[in-house]
Amino acid sequence: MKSCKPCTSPIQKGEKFFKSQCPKDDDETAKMEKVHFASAVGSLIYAQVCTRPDIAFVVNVMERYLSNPGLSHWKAAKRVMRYLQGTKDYMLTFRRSDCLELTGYSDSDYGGCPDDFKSTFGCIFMLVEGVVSWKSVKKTLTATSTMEAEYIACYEDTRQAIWLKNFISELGVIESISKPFTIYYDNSVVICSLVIIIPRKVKAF
Amino acid sequence: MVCKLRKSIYGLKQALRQWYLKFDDVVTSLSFKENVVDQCIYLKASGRKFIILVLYVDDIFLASNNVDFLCDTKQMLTAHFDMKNLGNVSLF
Repeated sequence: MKSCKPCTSPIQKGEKFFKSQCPKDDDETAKMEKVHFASAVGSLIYAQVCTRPDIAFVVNVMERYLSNPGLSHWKAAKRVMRYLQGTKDYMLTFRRSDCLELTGYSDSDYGGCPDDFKSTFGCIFMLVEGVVSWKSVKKTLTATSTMEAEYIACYEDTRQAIWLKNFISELGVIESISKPFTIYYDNSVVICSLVIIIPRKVKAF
Repeated sequence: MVCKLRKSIYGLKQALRQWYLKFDDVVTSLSFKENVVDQCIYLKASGRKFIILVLYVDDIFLASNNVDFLCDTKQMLTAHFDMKNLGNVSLF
């Protein structure tokens, strides 16, 4: 993959992966056995965990098919590598800033996984104009509406935010962390319901 | 041939835990404070100076806003453990 052709996105827009793409007979399994899918995804995970929030989603999708990968999964993994080839100079940057504020963003899809119709959510946290924490996971619960899916995402995001806040205040370096910080969601129903339940503690947008 | 082992070949199952407890003891005695939410991170602050110690199994990463403070801490740690300085952090 050293001299592969770079591409501009880690995953094709709207591309779905499901279990029926996995090999069904011995013939196909034998073909896929020649491919080092697990170790390729392992390397991608390494990149994702350390410095690449942008491939978090697709890596998470690939992880679901580690035990029995199909050809299309392998192609998708290679596409991520081509994307990394094109963007290998990208890095996380942090710069001096007067605004020492933690900001969270989260979003969720609805029934994104075609196998069990569970939703996937993602969140990132920014500090000093750089990303400090990110995550993309399939939920363990099955949501029955977009609002429910988004609500679970809010919950997960807030949980992570509280941990981060405790962590940073333990470090004792950033004093302004004791102030409430902003988390951005994009679902107005969820925001309304949050504001009704806990009116003063949440500053939601 | 039968050999008598003077000590175990692979180390005991408890060795890892014991190492951590030992390290924790030493670092706490050097007035480092353990981070409650992430127990591999220690903080020591005196006045405006602070030093953060990150422990990953047996690798230590130090960050401070004062070079002398950093050197002192390094010396204190060297007194307790056999250590090697790997220089500045390049890839983390």
